[in-house]
Amino acid sequence: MQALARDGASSAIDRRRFLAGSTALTAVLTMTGMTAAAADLAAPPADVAALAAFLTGKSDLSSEMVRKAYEGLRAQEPGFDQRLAMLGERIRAAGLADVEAFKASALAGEPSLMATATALIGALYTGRVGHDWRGHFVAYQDALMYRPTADVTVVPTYSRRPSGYWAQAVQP
Amino acid sequence: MSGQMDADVIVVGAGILGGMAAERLARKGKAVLVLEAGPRVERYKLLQAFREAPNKNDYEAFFPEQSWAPKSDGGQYSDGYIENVGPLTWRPSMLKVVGGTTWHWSSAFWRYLPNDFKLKSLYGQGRDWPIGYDDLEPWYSLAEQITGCSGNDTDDQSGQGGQPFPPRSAPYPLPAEAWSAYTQTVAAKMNGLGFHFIDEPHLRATKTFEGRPACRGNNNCSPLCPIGAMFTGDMAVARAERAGAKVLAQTVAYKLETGPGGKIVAVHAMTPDGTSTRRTARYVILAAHAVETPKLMLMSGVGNRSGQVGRNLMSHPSLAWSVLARDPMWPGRGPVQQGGINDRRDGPDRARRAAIRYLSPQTSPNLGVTDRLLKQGVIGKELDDRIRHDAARSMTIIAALEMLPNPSNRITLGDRKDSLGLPNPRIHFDVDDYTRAGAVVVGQDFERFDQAFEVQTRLGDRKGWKLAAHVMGSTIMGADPRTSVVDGDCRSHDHANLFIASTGVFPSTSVVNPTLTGAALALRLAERIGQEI
Repeated sequence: MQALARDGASSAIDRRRFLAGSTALTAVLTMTGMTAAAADLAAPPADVAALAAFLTGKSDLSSEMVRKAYEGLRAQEPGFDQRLAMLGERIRAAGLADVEAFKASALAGEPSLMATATALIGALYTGRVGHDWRGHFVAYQDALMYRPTADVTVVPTYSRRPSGYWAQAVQP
Repeated sequence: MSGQMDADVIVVGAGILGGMAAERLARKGKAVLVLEAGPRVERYKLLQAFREAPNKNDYEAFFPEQSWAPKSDGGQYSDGYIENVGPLTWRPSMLKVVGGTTWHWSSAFWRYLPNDFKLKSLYGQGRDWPIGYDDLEPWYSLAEQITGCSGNDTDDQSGQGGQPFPPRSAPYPLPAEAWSAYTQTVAAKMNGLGFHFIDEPHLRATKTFEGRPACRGNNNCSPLCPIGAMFTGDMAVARAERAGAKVLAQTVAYKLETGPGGKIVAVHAMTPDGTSTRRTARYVILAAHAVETPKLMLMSGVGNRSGQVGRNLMSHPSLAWSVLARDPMWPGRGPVQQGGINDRRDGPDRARRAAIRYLSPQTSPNLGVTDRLLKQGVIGKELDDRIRHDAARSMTIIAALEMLPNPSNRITLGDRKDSLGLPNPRIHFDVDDYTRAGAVVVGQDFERFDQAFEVQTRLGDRKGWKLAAHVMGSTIMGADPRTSVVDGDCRSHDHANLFIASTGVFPSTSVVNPTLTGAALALRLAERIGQEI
């Protein structure tokens, strides 16, 4: 069973903290001396969690899932730390309120920034980094891609419904 | 008992066919020893491994990876194991664990049609079988009873909308499965085009059956039923063990030893540390997957007087119609597939082009949809909205086509070695004009499907061959020892006590999943051996 604790306290991502910029992502990285090899954290840096919440528009991401996405991306993509820091700085500097504002901004037109954003979003939505067995697991049941259809379809292997449920028509 | 022998019968390979043959012999009081290259595995551990696997589209990766028994894919040893040297890349899905490759399958359990056994004499193509439908019918029925097959007794499985066909001596042991709303809609639209959408017989329990719970619609039959509602090879092996067969896991057969009179007198096998043991038996059954069985025969230099071992390799080359329909369809609810269209499965057209079957999977589309949207740069609220919109409208129809036996499509021994020093299988594979002629008809049908479902977006490549896990022909059956490997009883033409329980013996592919016919042949050959011992 995947160990994705739904820790209400630790998962309460404070988007405003990210936007206030009290601790810049770059500063966090510098202070901790974080490199791809050095990070073995119980939780992702606060700014990463805040950035994940900002980019997905979700305030209830588990810290475990964000940590795994972050670590997976750092392991998979050399320099991801720096690119993520840059993305955070640019969003902060632009004073963007949310992901919709980011999408409408000139920042979304910069391929490097958009690629970094979609990498983090993709890890949290699909629950994995990479596309083969060498990739990194992030989440399964809690992968964000299942939320939009959760009222209709099951996360495969997690059916809690009775035999034959599938014969019922789906209400529009 | 076996006297001075280690066993009456040694079965190489603890998959669904080896398990069924072993059970039949053990029930007759024969001493049966089953050698399996891979380890034992447990469903709950596999489920955990699947859920934590990074790539849910890789059906092999979450199964054990071992240097002495590589899989077809999904690991550092397995990825380079099956080598492709021909025009098409094909690494037929293969697992090496107790239970074998049907740990991950959708459990389609079709009978062949009587005409599938007579392709040459009826249509002038390919080869005839030396046996016919009537020879197999009792064994089809027994295999369905053992496995708890669910099906529709009223369907004409030739796809013509006629009376129930092919003939059955007993009804399906379990009732047909309720169709999902998705399947109901697909069936109605297809029938509107003039096709006859019918049930796919399968091994998901539709009600509690011999300890298996009824299917709960986990939408994960392949790669793993999480609750054991579906019959899988491990269950066949467990039945054999309960009947008295002994299973040795992590035991890699690598040499068949011949003795006086051309009989096989021993099987040599290694444990993962390289320790070799020689085991003797009166009879040997090779049931080690249709890629590994010819490999073992080639390594041993047995059974190949015809030169056909490893040749005539066949599959069901497939084409995919993937779209977004106009209206919500909602795949992702219930089992992964339930039915299809058999209208082009048989008929005079087989004289000039491959038979065709259309199947209708309804697997959860969320991962593919999300990946595609992210590639398009869709984020924010639109991403959630589009996931719901596109997932609801995602559709796939698979066209499975027939193949003819061609000696140049073959398995040979490669130069790479596993950790035991055993060679890898090398595959040369291509699709011929007979199958390509079928693809022309498929393309026309796909256009009709576009109209029926008012397709908004086409996805994927409609003309790219996808090669199924179904492996046939590699130890081909025939009446003539000069051109075939086994006879109609699946007995080696060259070794009277060597039998092959494998879909590799098929001289024709039909267009349906081959496992039931393989199971019927396995039960039948076990009966024959039982009579002779």
